[in-house]
Amino acid sequence: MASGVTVEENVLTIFNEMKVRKAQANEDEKKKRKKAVLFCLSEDKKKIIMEEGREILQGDEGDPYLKFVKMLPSDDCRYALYDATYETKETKKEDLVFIFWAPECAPLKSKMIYASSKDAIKKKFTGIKHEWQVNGLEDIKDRKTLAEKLGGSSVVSLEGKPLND
Amino acid sequence: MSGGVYGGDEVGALVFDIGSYTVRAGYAGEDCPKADFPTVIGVTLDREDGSAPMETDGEKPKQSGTAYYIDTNQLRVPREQMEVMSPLKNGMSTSLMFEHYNIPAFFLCKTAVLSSFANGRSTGLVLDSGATHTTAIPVHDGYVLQQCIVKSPLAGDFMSMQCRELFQDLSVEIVPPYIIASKDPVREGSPASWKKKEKLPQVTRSWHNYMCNTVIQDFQASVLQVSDSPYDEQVAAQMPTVHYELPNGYNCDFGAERLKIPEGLFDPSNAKGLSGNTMLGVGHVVTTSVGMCDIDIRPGLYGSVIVTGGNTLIQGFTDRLNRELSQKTPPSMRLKLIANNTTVERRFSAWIGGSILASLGTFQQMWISKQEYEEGGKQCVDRKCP
Repeated sequence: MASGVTVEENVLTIFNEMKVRKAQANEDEKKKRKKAVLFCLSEDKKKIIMEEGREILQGDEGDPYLKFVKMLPSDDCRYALYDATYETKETKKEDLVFIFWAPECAPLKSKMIYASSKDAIKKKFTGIKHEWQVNGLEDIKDRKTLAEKLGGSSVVSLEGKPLND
Repeated sequence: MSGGVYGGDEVGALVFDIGSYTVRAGYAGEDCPKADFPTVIGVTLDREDGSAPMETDGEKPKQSGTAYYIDTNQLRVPREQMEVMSPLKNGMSTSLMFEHYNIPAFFLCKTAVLSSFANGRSTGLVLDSGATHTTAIPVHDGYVLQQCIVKSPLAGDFMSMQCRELFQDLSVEIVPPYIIASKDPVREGSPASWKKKEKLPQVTRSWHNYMCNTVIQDFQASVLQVSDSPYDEQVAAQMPTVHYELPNGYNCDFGAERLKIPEGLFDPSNAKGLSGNTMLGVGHVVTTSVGMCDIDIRPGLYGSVIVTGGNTLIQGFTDRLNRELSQKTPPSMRLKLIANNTTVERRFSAWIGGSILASLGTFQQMWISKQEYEEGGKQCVDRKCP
């Protein structure tokens, strides 16, 4: 069931960029690729747009997951695309995850609009294998939940950090 | 108003949520319904003044003498020959809306989806415990999984029935306030002493029953409590008692009964008046419904169990439900119960969801206009309102 909210073209472009994993020779280009992006509703609440300044690049220093969690507003909802790097016993993989962030303390109106428009943005993100609905800081801080979503019990580390500590 | 595209935010829309106990109605954009009144109609014959007719079965009152009352105040005044009845559940049928009331635009939405969205979730299990039914409705990505809905008749009305039996066992007569002229204070547990009003009109049986029900419902709301663990005689005996006084002056302390009656909701095997053991307790309703869904989405459903409906406001309901579900689900399953603490939100979550949706600028293109209905017929509703 939809609310009629539309998705801006820019959002789709970003998604396509993140999806394609070119065998990049150029280190610089690789660093500029986005690791995580936040999307929000425009001022007039009619479109979904990329949130300015809320993104993490591949080349950024520090733990990207922690930075991502810090980026999320504690009192408003968001959609996010997160490019997760994880390892199983056999291989190292990268997968895009679509995250729907709706904390309990967000205003009801916000929750309602974001929840009913989720379908619109998700439809545009074709080929996404993983989706995560998160409603609180405790849930998202726990890396194990994300790891389980990505590969079940065979995942040993996320973003280079082992899980069992 | 034409049936075309509307201009931005100037649209006024009405939102109706018709339940079996109350109707919630109001304007879109507001945070709570303006009107919240019982879903009953008082019908009288041979009266001059008629009130606003409510949708019953689509027929306007043909006889000029028939009057319909929906306002609570008017309904509580004893009148001669006033019958009380519940309007048909199909009151909101599309044809009724377009043909009879001539509205310009219309949209139908599933209450479970609205409740779920209002809690910021597009996937979850909505447990709605109201007056007539307790229903578990799985919602996935904004769509109701129709085949996995589980319904149980154990709800508010069932508890009212049990309360009635309790009073019968205590040999206490339920006397509604309208009959009482004055009452004397009596000792606890003693028979009531009160005087009947003189010159009472001859009221119908259905109206009298309706008034008795309101007394019982008040008792139900103030006294009953769900125990945290399955009912135990000894634990219940140590329960703090609650003092309650009926309108006619009879007052008593209630202890073990407070826990015993709502126990029927969670464990129907001990409840009186149930034929056979085929009824499902609330915990079972939830697990059965989730069990009918695809195994991959079950963690998503258990991770967002949304509790709504007036009957869930009984003290201790959510704690007990939490306990039952954690016992019934595998230990690795993350279980999360979402129960809004405010009465308003829990009873009105579906209405509020509808109100916000209807007031969105982008939603205005989603309405089904009269023109579309005329061209497409009823099918366009099924198509546009999933």
